[in-house]
Amino acid sequence: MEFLNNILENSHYSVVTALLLGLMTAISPCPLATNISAIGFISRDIENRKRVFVNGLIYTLGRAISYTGLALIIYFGASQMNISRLFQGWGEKLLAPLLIIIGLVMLDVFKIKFPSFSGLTEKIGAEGKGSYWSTLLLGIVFALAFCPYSGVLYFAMLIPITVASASGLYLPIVFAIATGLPVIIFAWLLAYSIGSVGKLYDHLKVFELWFRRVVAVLFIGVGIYYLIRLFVVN
Amino acid sequence: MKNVKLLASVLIVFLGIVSCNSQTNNQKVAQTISSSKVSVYYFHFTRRCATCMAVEENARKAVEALYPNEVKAGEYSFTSLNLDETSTKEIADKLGVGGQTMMVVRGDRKLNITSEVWMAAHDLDKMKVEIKSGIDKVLF
Repeated sequence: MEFLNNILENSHYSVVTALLLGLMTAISPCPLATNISAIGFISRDIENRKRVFVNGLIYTLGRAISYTGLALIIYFGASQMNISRLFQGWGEKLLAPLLIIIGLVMLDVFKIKFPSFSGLTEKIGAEGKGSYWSTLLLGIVFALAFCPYSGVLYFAMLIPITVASASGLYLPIVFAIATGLPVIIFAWLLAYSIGSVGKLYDHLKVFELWFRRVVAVLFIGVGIYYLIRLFVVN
Repeated sequence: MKNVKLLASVLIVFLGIVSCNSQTNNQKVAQTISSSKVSVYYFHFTRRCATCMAVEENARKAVEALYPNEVKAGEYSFTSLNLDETSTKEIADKLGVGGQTMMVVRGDRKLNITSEVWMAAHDLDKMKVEIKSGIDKVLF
């Protein structure tokens, strides 16, 4: 982290700054729990490593949509103060129940049926192959759940260089790619290693089912972790 | 019935104390902003990270080490304010603060130094340089 800090201080190019801020966000201890959940979610199709890679890209696209969307809202005149207060104050609080609900849906404890989302939620479940929509949504939501640390990196450091001029509006995309990169790499490695073990024993289907269940429990566990953190004041 | 009355009077007294307190706080803050005193404000939420704690600790140390006499005389101050508390809302609105922010304020002049102090979170010497540079900018 100190190393990235040093490069950041000496960086004269905003694209390098955005890239470094994204990497610092991805590897800081605070969003680590959501990153681990994301890695599990993305690599749930261990049978198909190409799909894991595409899932990783779509997850990153989801993050890019959130970061660019927020930057655009601020660029076109919304009060940065209100937006920042809303997301930095509430992002983490909404994360806990959301993670627990996703975990329970993945375990098939219950099924949520929204008229327009029914196809989507069914596919999140353990039986489905996992839709790209759910991965995109996960990227969008996880990006909006700002931790105290990532909140400062985004709102206090990235936003000022982004909204300074129209030519800076691509920077949140660079930032999003950097936040998604470690997740893509680890998801792919995980799918590669677990998939190989599964193939070795010729029980890939069973492996995949149990892997999904582990991911579901992981979501619930991380959700409970965030819930506890909300009630424990530093 | 007696209990209800007792509870009501306790509640009224409590609300009175709370509102008085927040009024005093607000008045203090308003006085500081309108005067020529130099104030370093650190805004945060209840939930904080390790770096956030380090930023506050080192920034406070930096102000006290750089300007011991001014701090004693009440001319310079370092104030940490929680954005989750309603009494902070007024000053946060006034300064346009929406998240974790370090700001140097003198009269009408204000300078956001969040990005700079964040990079100096764990290094007191670097923090001193950033705090001094921020204060100098609102002074001159």
